[in-house]
Amino acid sequence: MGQGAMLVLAWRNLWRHRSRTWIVGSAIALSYALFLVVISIEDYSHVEMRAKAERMVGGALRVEGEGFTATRALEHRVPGGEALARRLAEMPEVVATRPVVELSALLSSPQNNAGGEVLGADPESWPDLLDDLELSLGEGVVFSPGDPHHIALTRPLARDLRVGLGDRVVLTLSDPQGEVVRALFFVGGLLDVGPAGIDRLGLLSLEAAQLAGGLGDAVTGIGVQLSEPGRRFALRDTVAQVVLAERPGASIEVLTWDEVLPELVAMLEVDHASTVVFLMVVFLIVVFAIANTMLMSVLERVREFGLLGAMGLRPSALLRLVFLEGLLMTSAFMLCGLVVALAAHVAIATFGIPVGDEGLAFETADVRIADTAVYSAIVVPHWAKASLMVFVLSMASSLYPAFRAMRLEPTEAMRTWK
Amino acid sequence: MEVEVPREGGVAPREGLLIEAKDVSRVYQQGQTQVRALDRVSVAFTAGEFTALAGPSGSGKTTLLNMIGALDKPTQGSVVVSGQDVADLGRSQAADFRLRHVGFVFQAYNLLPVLTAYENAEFTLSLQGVPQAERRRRVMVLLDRVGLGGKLDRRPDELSGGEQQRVAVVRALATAPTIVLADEPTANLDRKTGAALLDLMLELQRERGTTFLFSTHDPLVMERARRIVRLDSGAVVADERTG
Repeated sequence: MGQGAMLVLAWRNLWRHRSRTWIVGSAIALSYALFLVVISIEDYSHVEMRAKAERMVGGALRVEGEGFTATRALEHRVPGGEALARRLAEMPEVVATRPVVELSALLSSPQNNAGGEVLGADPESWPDLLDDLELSLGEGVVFSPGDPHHIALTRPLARDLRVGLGDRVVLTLSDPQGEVVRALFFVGGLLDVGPAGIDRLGLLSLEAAQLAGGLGDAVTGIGVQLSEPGRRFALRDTVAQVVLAERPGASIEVLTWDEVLPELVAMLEVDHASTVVFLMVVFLIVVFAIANTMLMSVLERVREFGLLGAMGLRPSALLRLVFLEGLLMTSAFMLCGLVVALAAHVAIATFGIPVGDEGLAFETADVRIADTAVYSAIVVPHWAKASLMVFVLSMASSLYPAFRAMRLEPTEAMRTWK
Repeated sequence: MEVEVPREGGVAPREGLLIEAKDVSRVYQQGQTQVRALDRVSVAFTAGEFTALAGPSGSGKTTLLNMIGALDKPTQGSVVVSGQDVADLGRSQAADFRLRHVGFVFQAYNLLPVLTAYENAEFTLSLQGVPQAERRRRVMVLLDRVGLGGKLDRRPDELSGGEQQRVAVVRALATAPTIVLADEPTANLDRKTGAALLDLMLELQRERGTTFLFSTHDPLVMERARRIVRLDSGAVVADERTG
């Protein structure tokens, strides 16, 4: 049969019962649109989390002593950290480098003790440090150049230690040799924590942290900001080659931020997969409705299929005809659904959906984001996969009705009207 | 679409014969009961005949017509049409056979309701993969011939019963089939319309030499038929030539 004639016949058959087609088509379009919108809202939070994670790591790549991420031990360090950071910053693919010292320490005041993370950073190489960590200066100063005893604490940590500006704090930690060392600091700044900021953190200058940890010129890590963060896996080897050339024999590895925070990536993937499974289950209900409608439309046209068979349409062509009707309905209404989803996405991405003045916080694997509204982001591969799944399931709903049409014997079918 | 009808296992027809049913029986199972629709029927038709299969309801007319049109298979015996034993055809091969050799006109429900008169008329040609220009040429000649040249864009529900049957006749003839099988084509028409339709088919038969086989108990058809084969209880009881 000519494909044109088949197409015309299928399209007109589809609109034989307009209201029914509109109802089923609307179910396809709206459930598909809902599918995409829900994924987009989730993807927005995931995109935000990934961006936040990248900011926390200091860049798309992190150069650090091999094993540091797993052990947090200072024996895994990068010697000549600042010099290496300067060398890496000269690479054309690199926008900036951020040498840091991360210390896991016990902080003690005369009143109390508290465990916490202490970060040593260079404000010149990481000017957006406070913004990236969602902190803001409350009192005092963050860094005091030339003062090796200056520390800024987040207010929750200061509250735990019951200290204020000018009070003493002692850091107790293990140095690279495993010896327990202590360092004295004075609180010179108090930091307010944003809704998604790190609650308990101490900030030091890079030099002060190196001194406290007995690291010399070493750092625990260098954050590497790339001009194309999306190419981080490809550029990791390029950066590693420069590191190897600069520090031959040193146990240094280059990790992507995903590798520094593998639990975050895993959690986001599980989160996405569970959302998709839930949505697929919802869509399956729609699929049964489509299958029922398609089957009804076949059963009420039994005589017509008999006539087509009598005229010489092969059984396989009858199957194709019903399948084509399903294909046209699915395609047309998925297109409508796509338009609805895009419109909804633009509206949600622009205005957001308010979630109250208190805001809503999401925390996964210690990475926290918070906002007073939820927004939407399109992750093209997710939309493509969702579209493919909806399309395949919708088309699967035509399988049984098409098979029934194919199995009809023309004489039996023609006898129906008699 | 290329239409292929297998010739393997084909049976050489006796000279001059187009259709030969030999010792044909057809038994249907209805629940626990066996219904013998045809009982050892033997009948033959030559090309160009205008024949009526007459008999009361349940006499086996439609069953015989269905066998000749490769819509059904005999339980016993053989039905050879254009040298092809229809019992040897699979479902797809039978569909191809019908497309190439047979035109059907049914009592009712002849047209596809979603297509216009013109689209219905050219439908079998499009099944055959005939190019559009050629389809139009062939169909328009016939539609003009049956007086429907001005109603090309009408849907079946906008045509009278007689007009619908004329479209069905055009569709059946457009592919220039060897045989046209008409199953009680006048049963739903008034006498005047039925007579006009039959006269039209008779004219086309004369012009084209197409073989027409009618299943009917309508006197109008039998008046015009050149041969009447009477069936009763699944058996041929009379075979009369009238002209």
